[in-house]
Amino acid sequence: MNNEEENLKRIFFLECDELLASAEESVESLRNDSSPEEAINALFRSVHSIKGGAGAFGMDRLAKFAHAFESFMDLVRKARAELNETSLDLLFDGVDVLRMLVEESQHGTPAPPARYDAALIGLRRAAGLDDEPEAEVSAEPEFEPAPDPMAEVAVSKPTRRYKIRFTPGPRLLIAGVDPLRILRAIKALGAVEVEADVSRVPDLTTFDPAACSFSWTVTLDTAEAQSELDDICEMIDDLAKVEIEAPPEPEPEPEPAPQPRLAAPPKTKAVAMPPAPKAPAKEPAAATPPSRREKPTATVRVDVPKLERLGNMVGELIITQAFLARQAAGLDTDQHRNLFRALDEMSQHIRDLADAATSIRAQPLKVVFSRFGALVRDLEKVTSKRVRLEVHGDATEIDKTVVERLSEPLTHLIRNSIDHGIESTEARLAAGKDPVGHLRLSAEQRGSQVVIELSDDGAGVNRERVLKKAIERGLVAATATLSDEEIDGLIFLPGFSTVEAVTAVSGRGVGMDAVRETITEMGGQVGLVSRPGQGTTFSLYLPLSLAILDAMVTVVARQYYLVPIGAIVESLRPTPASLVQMDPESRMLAYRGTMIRILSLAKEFSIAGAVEDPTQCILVVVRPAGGEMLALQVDDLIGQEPVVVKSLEKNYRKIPGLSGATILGDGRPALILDPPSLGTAFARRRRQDTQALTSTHRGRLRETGMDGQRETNRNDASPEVQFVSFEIGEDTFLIPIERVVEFRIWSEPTAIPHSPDYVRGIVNIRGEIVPIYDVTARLGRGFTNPTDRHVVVIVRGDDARSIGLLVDSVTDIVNVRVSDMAPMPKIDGGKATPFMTGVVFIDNRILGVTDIDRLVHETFPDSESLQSLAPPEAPRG
Amino acid sequence: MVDRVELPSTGDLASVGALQAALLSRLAAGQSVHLDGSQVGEPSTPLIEVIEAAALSFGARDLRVGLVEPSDALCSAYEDLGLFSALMTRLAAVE
Repeated sequence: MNNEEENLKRIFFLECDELLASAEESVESLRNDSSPEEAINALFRSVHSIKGGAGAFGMDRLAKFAHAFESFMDLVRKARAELNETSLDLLFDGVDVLRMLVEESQHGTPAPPARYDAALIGLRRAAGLDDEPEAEVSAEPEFEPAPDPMAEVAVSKPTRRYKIRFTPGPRLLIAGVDPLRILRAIKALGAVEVEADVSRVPDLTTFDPAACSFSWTVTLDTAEAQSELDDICEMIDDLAKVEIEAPPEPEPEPEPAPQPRLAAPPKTKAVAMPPAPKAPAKEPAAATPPSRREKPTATVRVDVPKLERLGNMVGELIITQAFLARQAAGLDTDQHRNLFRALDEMSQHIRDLADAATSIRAQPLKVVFSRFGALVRDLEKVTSKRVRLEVHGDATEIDKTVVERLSEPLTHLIRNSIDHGIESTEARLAAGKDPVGHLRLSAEQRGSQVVIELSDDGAGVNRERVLKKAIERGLVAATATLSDEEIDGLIFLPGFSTVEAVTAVSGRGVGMDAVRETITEMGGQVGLVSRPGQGTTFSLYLPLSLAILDAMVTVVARQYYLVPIGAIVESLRPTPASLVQMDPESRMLAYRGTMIRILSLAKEFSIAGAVEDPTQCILVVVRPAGGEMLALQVDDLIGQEPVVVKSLEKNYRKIPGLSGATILGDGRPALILDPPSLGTAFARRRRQDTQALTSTHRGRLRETGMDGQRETNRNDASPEVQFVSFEIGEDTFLIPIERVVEFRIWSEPTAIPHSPDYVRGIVNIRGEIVPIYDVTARLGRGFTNPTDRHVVVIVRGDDARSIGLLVDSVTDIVNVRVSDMAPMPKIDGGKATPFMTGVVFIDNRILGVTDIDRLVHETFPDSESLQSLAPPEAPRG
Repeated sequence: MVDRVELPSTGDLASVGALQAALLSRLAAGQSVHLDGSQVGEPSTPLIEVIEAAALSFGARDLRVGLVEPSDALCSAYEDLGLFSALMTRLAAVE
């Protein structure tokens, strides 16, 4: 082969990679797309291009197969052949075989004859090519990759005998894997003898179609590498028991004598190579020069314990490096310049080593995700529902041990979504939805986490039913007031199920509690967001690596606490103006247009001796997986370090708010914070506090008989609006959050003569004159005597003018559904509620919504006169 | 008395469940069955398992489960599952 031809072939194979990827994508969209014209045309073009190139280069088998594939696609394109489940399976197989044939043409690795024959026969039949003269499909006589000496090597490869014992596990069939497919895949590797054990076949009355009772012993004679067999078994290694009895490694074969380089192959029919002369009988393998025909080994199989040992050693190295860094910290950098440079380099090398050690264990999620297409198709049949599964991000990689354990929880979540989430076709049509339910499975890496989401567009969690069941089972008190999120969380309680009867789909195997337990055991979290009538999304947040974590080292009263870097949004030292006192015990941080809760680690963990003044502390703003932002108050930051995670549970016990421990460079143990559980626990406590504070309101509501209002609307699917709540005396009021500009601590304003008594004066905020409005006075309840716990909420009216509302405290940010809102009832002709625009129902309370526009308009009877009184602009900041 | 039951064209779990129910009703009625395998295009392990489970239960009551006109796909599946002798037994049960 001359250089030009070689180069053209190289380009063709590169193009084949792209064309095959595109073909795979097209077939996948054909499965999912209701208007598949584009995918059909794209698939036709891909196969046509492969066929053209294969013909030009004399790759007969590839060209012939592509011709059959293309002919079938042509019929489909012209609507003369139907796309149904059988033909789609044919296309899936067809693309697989095309890939094998490209591999065969490129590297001489023969495509398994059985797969080739089956796919070619299927495509030729479907394309109506049975009568064409080139109907000969048997691989054996036709496969003549003779121009490539590899073929000679392949033919002369010795066969080895393997004994495979294959016992399906209880979830194999439910996961969409038919043992028949596995046995056929093994058969494709060589000659097999299959012995079935049918002794466990049950009586027909107890027979369960989803539980396989057969097991097999397969004797395989093959010339293929054991890795081919291992690949098949690996697909099911968590779904079945597979034992492979391999023969001892054969003695290395003596290398054949070097062959003269061959001329370019003829473009039509290949010519068989004469047998290579035999190599000298006893030439030692080590002395043999490596054959240029030998395909480089692409993968190496390594025992997991060896990988674990490598991980542990990298961990120890990280600790030692941190120790050295700390020891060096006290040295003069000028005097020890080389030492510091070496430490920097070592740190980078260790980081690269840790990344490499992590990546060795990484596997694409495709290994698990690829099983779910078949599962969904089976479940469609069992439930008589129509479901379209979309898969995104299956190339995302994660630790192998995580991949292996994900199959079970994801299988359960998919079953749950199809069985309970997605409605029947009739119900969907009645609700004005697409009759086909949509299930979206996606994965992506976010920082040091991999987030897997499973979303359906079904009915959402039936909260009334869930709560009722939970009360019936004594899981919650009948009088409990739970938020929507808390009700959703009930489905994760052990033994919780709303299923009335066990079906082939539900009530089998693991429950949602086991899903959560499995994910938590892997150091992950499960999130659930459900919207009535719109669907449910389960989010699994998993650590990329189970052993090494990038963390920010913080200090609280000389104790170290580590915050995972992936959860950190920002670290800052708060200004007094950015802190809002909610009550004597807690504060909030005004942060980028929103308010977030501050959690003092000293208070949370009862640590004495911490810095108390928040303005002298550092706030680490974190966003726990799927949750609200939270500001962790610590004394100081030390710096970022990769650390090795040790299980606290294994070495001590589980502590809420902590995910593990580690050893720092100076040998001291440090605790690793778990932002999601900190956030959850804190939010729960805050809610309890708020409920206690508002018991008076509930009492009033009961008197008016309006406390059932929210229950009525619980399953409403209407959109939500966010409000900031503030308190005046014992009453709580709301302001739409988009009207809130900022929060300020009280400072004496410049008084304005001849203005209403509730206008306390004006202040200058970044060049804008802002009147301060005493809400207590406006309500006719006397005048506020402002202290440092009072807050001024700066709000903006519809005409872009701002006023400041002096309130007792700001309490929370609340989400309110539009359906839980109502216009303000006219009480005393509107005089009793002069600046309320409406009411909302929250947790059995009725709260007033402040009419900001009215307040602004009544505060600015003559805006120009106010502007004329403005003091000179104060410096910013 | 022998009843003829048509095997489903695909061996998915739902079809196998339906076949199990059909066979149970014949078993309860004390009827031997001939399973018509001519339409089986996509056999599966569960499909063959339910046939074998039925053969066991029917046999315990001196009833027979025979297989008639098995499709090529069904025969191949029996063979690939290492159950060629079971296939022969089911075919012989028709005599």
